[in-house]
Amino acid sequence: MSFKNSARKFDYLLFFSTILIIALGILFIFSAVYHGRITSPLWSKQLIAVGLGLVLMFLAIVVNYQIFGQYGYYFYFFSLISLVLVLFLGKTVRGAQSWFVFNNFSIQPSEFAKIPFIFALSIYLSKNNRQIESLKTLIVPLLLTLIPMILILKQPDFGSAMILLPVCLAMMFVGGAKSIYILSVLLYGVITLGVPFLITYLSFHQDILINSVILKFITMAATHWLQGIVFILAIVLILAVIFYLLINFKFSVNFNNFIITSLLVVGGCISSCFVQNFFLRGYQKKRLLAFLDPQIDPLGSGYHIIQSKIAIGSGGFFGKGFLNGTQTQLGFLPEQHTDFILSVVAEEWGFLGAGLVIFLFFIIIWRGLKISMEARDRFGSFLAVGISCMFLFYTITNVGMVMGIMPITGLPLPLFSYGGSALVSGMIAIGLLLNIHLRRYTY
Amino acid sequence: MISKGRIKIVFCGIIFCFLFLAFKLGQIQIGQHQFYLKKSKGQKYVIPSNLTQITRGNIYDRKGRELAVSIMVDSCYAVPYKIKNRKTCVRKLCSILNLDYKKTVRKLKSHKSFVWIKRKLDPEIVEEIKKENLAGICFIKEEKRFYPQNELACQVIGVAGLDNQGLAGIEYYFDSYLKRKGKKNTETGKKVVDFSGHNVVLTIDKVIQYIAEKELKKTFINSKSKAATIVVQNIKTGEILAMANYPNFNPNRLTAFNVKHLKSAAVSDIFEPGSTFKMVTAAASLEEGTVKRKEKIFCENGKYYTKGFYIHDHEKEEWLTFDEVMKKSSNIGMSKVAFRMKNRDFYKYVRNFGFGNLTGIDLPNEVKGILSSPKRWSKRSLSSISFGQEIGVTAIQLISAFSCIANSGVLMQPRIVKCVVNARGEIAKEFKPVKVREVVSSSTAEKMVEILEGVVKDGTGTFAAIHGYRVAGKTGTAQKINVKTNNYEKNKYVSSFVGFLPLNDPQIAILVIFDESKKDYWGGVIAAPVFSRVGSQIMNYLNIPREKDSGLFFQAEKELMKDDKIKGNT
Repeated sequence: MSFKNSARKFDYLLFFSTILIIALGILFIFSAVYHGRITSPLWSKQLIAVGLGLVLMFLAIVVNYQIFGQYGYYFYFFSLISLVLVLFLGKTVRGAQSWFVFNNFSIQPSEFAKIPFIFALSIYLSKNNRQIESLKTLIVPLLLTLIPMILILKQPDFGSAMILLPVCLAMMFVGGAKSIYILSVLLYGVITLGVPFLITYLSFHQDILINSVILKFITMAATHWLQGIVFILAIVLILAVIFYLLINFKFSVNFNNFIITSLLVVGGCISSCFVQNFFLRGYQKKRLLAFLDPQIDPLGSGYHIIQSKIAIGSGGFFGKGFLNGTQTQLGFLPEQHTDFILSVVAEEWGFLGAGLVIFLFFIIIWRGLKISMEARDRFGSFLAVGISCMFLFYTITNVGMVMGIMPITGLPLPLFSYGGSALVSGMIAIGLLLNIHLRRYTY
Repeated sequence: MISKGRIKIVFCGIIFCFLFLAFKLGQIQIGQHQFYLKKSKGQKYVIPSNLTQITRGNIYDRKGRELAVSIMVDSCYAVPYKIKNRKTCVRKLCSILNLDYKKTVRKLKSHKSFVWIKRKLDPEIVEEIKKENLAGICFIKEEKRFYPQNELACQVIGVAGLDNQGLAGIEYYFDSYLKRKGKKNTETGKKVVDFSGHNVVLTIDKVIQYIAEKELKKTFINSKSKAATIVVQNIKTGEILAMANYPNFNPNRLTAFNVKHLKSAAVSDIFEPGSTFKMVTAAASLEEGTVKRKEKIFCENGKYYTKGFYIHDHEKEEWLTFDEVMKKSSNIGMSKVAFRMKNRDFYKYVRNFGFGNLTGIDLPNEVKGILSSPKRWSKRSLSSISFGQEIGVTAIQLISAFSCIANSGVLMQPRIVKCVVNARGEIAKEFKPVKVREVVSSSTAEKMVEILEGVVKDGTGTFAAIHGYRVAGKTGTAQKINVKTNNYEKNKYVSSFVGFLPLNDPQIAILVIFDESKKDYWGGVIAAPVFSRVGSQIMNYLNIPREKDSGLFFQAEKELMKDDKIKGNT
C-alpha cells in the first residue's frame, strides 16, 4: 500500500479527535494536581506515556490488522497468563492487586487485556458467523468473557471486570445473535447484581424493610442457606404456574425458551447469593449504590458524588477558568486526576469544555461504528465494533458516575484520565481502528 | 458480513445515550448552576470560631507569678482574588513585615481563597498595615503564647508552637492539661462553654530562678564554658526551686533558637560526677561501719598500684583521717575505703541514692544515667565508681542524693509541678511530696553533714563558704571521656559543686555544673563561688537568719525571725 494511497484513506477526523482528547487530558491532569505549585510530576509522567502510546499506536496502524485475526488467540492467552501472574506477583495499590511494578514504572495488565479479549471474541464470532443464531455458539463467547472477568474480579477490580460483559453482549448483538438470548443474559446479570444491591440499599433504609414481608424474605434468602433454597423453589413454582396458565389460555410459548428463561432466573438467584456473600465487599456495594442516594453516606461513599456535582454545577456554562476551579484547587474533589477528571473540566471550562470532551468521545465512537460498517472483512468489523463499544461503555459509565447518575465503579475516562496503562491501551485501540479504516477497500 | 441494521440500532442507542448525558450535564451546569455555586462557596476555608477565645492554660511559678500566658494577637491573611493591585500590595507588605518578595507574590498568585501572610503579629505592625488599607488583606485574632519572663526558666517551661501545641518542657509534658477541653454535655448535646485548659503551677520560684540564672550566666560567660547547669532544690520536700542551663533561648522568638538548647540538661544530660560522688561512697562506708571518721588512711603519696592498675591523686598525701580524705578529695583514700565493701553492697547504696533510675520528675526526656550491674563490673569498677568515674548521672539525681543526706538520710522525689488548677481556680490535681526511701540512718547522715561541712571549711570547697551561714558541700572535677577513643581527655573537665545550707536546719541544696570551662576547671574554684553567691542571695530572699553572726544580735535575730523562716519554707 503506497503512502499516497494511505494518506488519502486515513481517518483524520478520528485521529485528530483522539489527539485533542489526549492533549486536553494532559492539560487537565496538570490542573488537577496543580494546587498552587507546579511541582507535582504526574502530568509529565502522563506525557511519557503519551510518547510510548504514539509509538505503539503507529505500530498498530502499520501492521496489517488481519495478522491479529490469525494470532489473536495467542494474545488472548498471553493476557490471561498476565492476569493470573498479577494475582501472585502484583503489587497491591489501594486494595487491588492490579499492578506489575518495575523499577520506575508500573503496568496494569487488566488495561491491556481488553484488546486481546476483543481479538478473541472477534475471531470466534467472525468464524462462526453462520451458526450465530444457535445457542451453542453463544456459550463460547460468554466463556471467553467470563475467564478474564473472574480473574480481574479476583484482584479485585470490579469496574474493569464488569465492562467486559456489555462489550461481549454488544458484539454478539451486532453479530446477529437472537435478541432473546442477549436479553436472557442481561436478565441473568440484572438478577445477579440486583439482589445484592437491593439488600445493601435496604440495609440503609430499614424503614422500607419493616413494612414489606417479601423484601424481608429476600434479605433473609440472600444470607441464609435454608431460606435461599426455599426462595428459589418458590420462584420455580411461580414460573411453572405462569407457564401452565399461559398454555391454558392458548398463548403460543416456545417451551425451550421458557425453560431457558427459568433456568436463568434460578441461576441468577444462586449466583447473586455468591456475589452477595463472597465477591462484593461492603464498600463496593455501598459505592455502587451511592448514586441512588449520596446522602446515605455523605462523608464516605457519597462524598465523591456530592463533591463532584458541586464542582460540575458551580462551573456553569463558561466555567471558572483554567486553574481557577475552587473545588479542584482546594482539593475537595477526590481522585480528581483519575476517575473524576471530567469534573475538573466541567468546573474550570464549564458546560462548553465538558460538552466538547463528551462530543469528542461521540466522534470516536461514531467513527468506530462507521469503520466497522466499511471494514473489508468480518474480523475487522467485529474488532471495530468491540473497540467502539468499549469506548462507549467506558465513557458512559465515567461521565454518568461523575454526574451522579451511574454508580461509582472506579472506571477512568479513556484517553483522558491519568494512568499510563489505560492511555497506552486506548491509543493502541484507536490505532487498530485507523488500521481497519486504512485497509477498507483493498480486496 | 455483520448485520448493518443492528449496527444502526446500536448507533441510535449511542446517540440517545450521548444526548441524555449532554442533557444531564446541561441540567447540572446550567439549570442548577446557582444552587451548586452557593454550595461551592460555602465550602471555602472555614475559620474555626473557637479561635476567638483564649483556651490554653497558663503556667505559674509557686507564688502564682505568670511564666507562660496566652494572649490574643492579630494574624494577617490574604484573600488573593480580592487583591486589586498585587505588586504594590506585596511591596508594602514586604517592607512592613520583612517578607521575601518573590515568595509572597507566589502565595498571592495561588487560587486559594485563604493564604496566611504572617501569623501572630505585634500590635504596632498590625496598625501599620491597617493604615495602608489594602484590599484583600485581612486580620483575625489568634491565640498566641507569650512568656513574660523571656528567657527565665525557658527549658523548664518549654515552648508551645504556632498552633498552641506544646513542643518542649512543661508545655509539652502537661500539654493534655493545658489544652482546651471541649467536653460535651451529655444531656443537652451542646458543648460546655468552658473551653479553657487547666493552669499549671510549678514549684519554681521566679526570684530564686532569677538569682540562679543571673549568677550562672555571669560565670558561664566569663569562663567561656560549653554549657552550665544549676539546680536549686528544697531539701525537705524535694521541690525544685530553680533549674536552668546555659546556653538558653528566648521562647518568645520561636524561630531564632537552636533545638539543642530546648532540653533541660539537668534531667536529660548525663555526666561523670567525679569527686562529688565520693559523698555516696562515704555515706555507704559509714553506714556499713567499714570506716571510722578518725581512722588514719595511708594515701600512698599520690600514686597507688593495686589489683593491676594505678590510682592517682592530684596532690601527694601520706596519712589522712577519713574526714581529711573527703576534704582533700583523695581518690586513693576513697578507693581503699571502698574496697572494704562488697561490690554488691556498694551497688545497693548507689541504687538507693537514686542513681541508675528515673527520679520521676515531671519533665520530658528524663534519662536514667549509666550504671552497670555489679556482675559486669571489672576489678577496677568499685574503686572507679567510689570517686565518681565509670558512672553516668544526671544533675537531678546528684542533687537529690545530697538533699537526702541533708534530710537525715531520707530521699525525696524531686518535683517540678506543685499542682494543676482548673479555669475556675479549683485545684484539679495536687502533687504532694513523695518520700522515696530511707537510704542511710539519721546518725550517718549527721556525720556526713559534718564531714561535708569540713570540705567547705578547710578543704577543696572553701570558696563555697557563705558569710553568716554554715555550709556543707563537695567539689567535683571530672575529666571528660572522649567518646571516640574511650580515653579521658586532658583539657576537658566537668567542674561541679553540690552543697546545702543552712546547716542548723538545712533548707536548700544547690548544684552548679560547668562543662568544659576554658579558664579554671577546678570545681572548687569555678563552681563553688557561684554556689556561694546564689546561696547567700537565696538566704536573703527567704529571710533565713544568719546563724554564726557574733553573739547577741544573732540570738535576738534568730528569735525574731523564727516565724518568717517557717513562711519561707513552704
